[in-house]
Amino acid sequence: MENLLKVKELKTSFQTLRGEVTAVDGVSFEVKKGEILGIVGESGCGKSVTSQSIMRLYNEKELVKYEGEVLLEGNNLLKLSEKEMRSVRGNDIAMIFQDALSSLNPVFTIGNQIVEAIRLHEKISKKEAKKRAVELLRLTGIPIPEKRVDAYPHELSGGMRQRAMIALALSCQPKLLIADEPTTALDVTIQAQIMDLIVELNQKMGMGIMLITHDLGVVAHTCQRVIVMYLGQIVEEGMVDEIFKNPSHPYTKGLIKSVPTTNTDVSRKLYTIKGVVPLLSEAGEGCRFCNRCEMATEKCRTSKPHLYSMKNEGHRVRCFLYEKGGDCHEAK
Amino acid sequence: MKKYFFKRLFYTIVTLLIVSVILFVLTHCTGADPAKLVLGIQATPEAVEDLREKMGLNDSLIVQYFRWLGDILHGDLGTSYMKNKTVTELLGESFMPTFNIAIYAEIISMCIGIPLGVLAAKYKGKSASVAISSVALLGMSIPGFLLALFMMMAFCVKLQWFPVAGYTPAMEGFLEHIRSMTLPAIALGFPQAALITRTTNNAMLEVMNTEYIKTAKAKGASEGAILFKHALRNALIPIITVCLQSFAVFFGGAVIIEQIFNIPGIGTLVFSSISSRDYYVIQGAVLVIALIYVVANILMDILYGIVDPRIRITGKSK
Repeated sequence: MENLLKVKELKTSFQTLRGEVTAVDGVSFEVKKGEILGIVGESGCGKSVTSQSIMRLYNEKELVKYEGEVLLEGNNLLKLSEKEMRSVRGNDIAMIFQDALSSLNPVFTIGNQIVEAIRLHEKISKKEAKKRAVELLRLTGIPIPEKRVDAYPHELSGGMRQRAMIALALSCQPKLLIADEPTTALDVTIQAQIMDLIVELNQKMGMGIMLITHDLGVVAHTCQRVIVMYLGQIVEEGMVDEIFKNPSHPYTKGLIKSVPTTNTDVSRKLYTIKGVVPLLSEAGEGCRFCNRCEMATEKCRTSKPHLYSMKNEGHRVRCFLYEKGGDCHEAK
Repeated sequence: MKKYFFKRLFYTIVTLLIVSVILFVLTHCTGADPAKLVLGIQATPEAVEDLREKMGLNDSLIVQYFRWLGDILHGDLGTSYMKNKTVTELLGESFMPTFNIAIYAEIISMCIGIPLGVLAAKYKGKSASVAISSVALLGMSIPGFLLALFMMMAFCVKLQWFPVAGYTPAMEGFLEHIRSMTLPAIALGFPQAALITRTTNNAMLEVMNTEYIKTAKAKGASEGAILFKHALRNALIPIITVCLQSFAVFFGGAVIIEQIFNIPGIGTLVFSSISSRDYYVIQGAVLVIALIYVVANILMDILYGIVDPRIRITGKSK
């Protein structure tokens, strides 16, 4: 499949009062056309920063510095002027945020906000744009869209709001949709509906989707490929089946082991990864996971591991255990 | 809506009643005898006593209060002791100058305050923002009367752009009308402009950190649209509050500024009636100022609902 988005050695650093902090440190990956790519990791691992760097949402004048390349169909977004970037945002790449209540402007109607999004990128009349808005709301499964189009965000339920948010994101038929924890703020039953909707839209409209989540269950159900991030770096990357069957990085193994299942022996304690995510500024010389890793050796503390390719194509792991193009079975 | 209206009316009446009691007690506690003031120092005690009886000053305070209140309900605010006019007439004459200047000052303070506040938020941490907040701090620290005196010296005495004092009604030429009100309006409006700047700045900074601003940016909206459409609309609640409060402040603050510029408005009326213990006039004028405050508050409530659908008055069924 053709690459839609290719991120090369992306590095995002923030100027803070305590000096420069590199929240995303040399991340490279690609999203293929029509593919759903999952990005998982704990809070603070840089998955949201990665997505917002792709859209360049941070204040570039004083706060943030980007390095590397973000190629959307071969076009480096990091090199574009702010004006050119504006025509990419919402048009080629759109985003769904976690909490639709705080992400939709409370003082404008849903229709108003969708119409604005459409008219920012297309020269059509307000009336036509509103018709499109109604269609988009219908597409995302909102009942009686002719009426809901005039509703304010607070007048809708949580699930409806997230559907409206998705409709907003789809208003210009983006090539890439970034969904940043789209279901975290929702009830479990609604979560499933929203994920089904996203998968359905992906199949219908054929856009690439970057799904950012900390929910491994969601990844298993919806994504084809997955990237696991830890402290601003990719630690493992591969096909979903491969990662779930054969998790290789100690961190990925830990993540999968700590998911409770219905057939888990209740008398046993749930597995947890020891320790907490260290601060970015405290990341030491060696592997960033070594303080919490059960298999850490002296080497892990002193030098940095690279991403090593595994036996199966596209499976890469950042761990010295696989330095010699290792086979994951050996490590067990 | 109807229910809301009656509730609001009820509160308005209660507020005004409380104000009237406090006002009445305070004016009558000042101690001076209006009868003596009317007749002058040479008056005989008998003549004073006679007048006191006529004016009803010998009745108990409670009786006097209810008599006054009863008269108000009949539309009669009393008659001035000093000027041979009813209070209603005096208020009618002096209301328009004060009201016009207040409107003018409001326009000045909003036109300066809101854009500067937005700009200060846009250039957060930059020198432009620091400059704006310094001027705002200065504006809030300078008392209006001092500013009035400085401006008088510069623009009236030295440059002679504006008349030194006095008020020209609109009927005698619109330009002259505006010219006569400009300096008083600036003196009143400038400190409020500073306050509006700071309020707008704070409200904008808060709104700019919200998620929906990020959504607007992710849609591809321009910086101007983000600032003035998405952010300002959400920041309007505290801005409306401070703007309408300032309108009420212009009425209260008129007492000093009108003295300086010799404007025959409510402020001057209050001032002269206080110095002559003209009880009914003081009470009438202060009640009007209190009414302005109450009306400003009602307007605030209505505007809140227009600006923010989440606090729209209940009863709207669709």
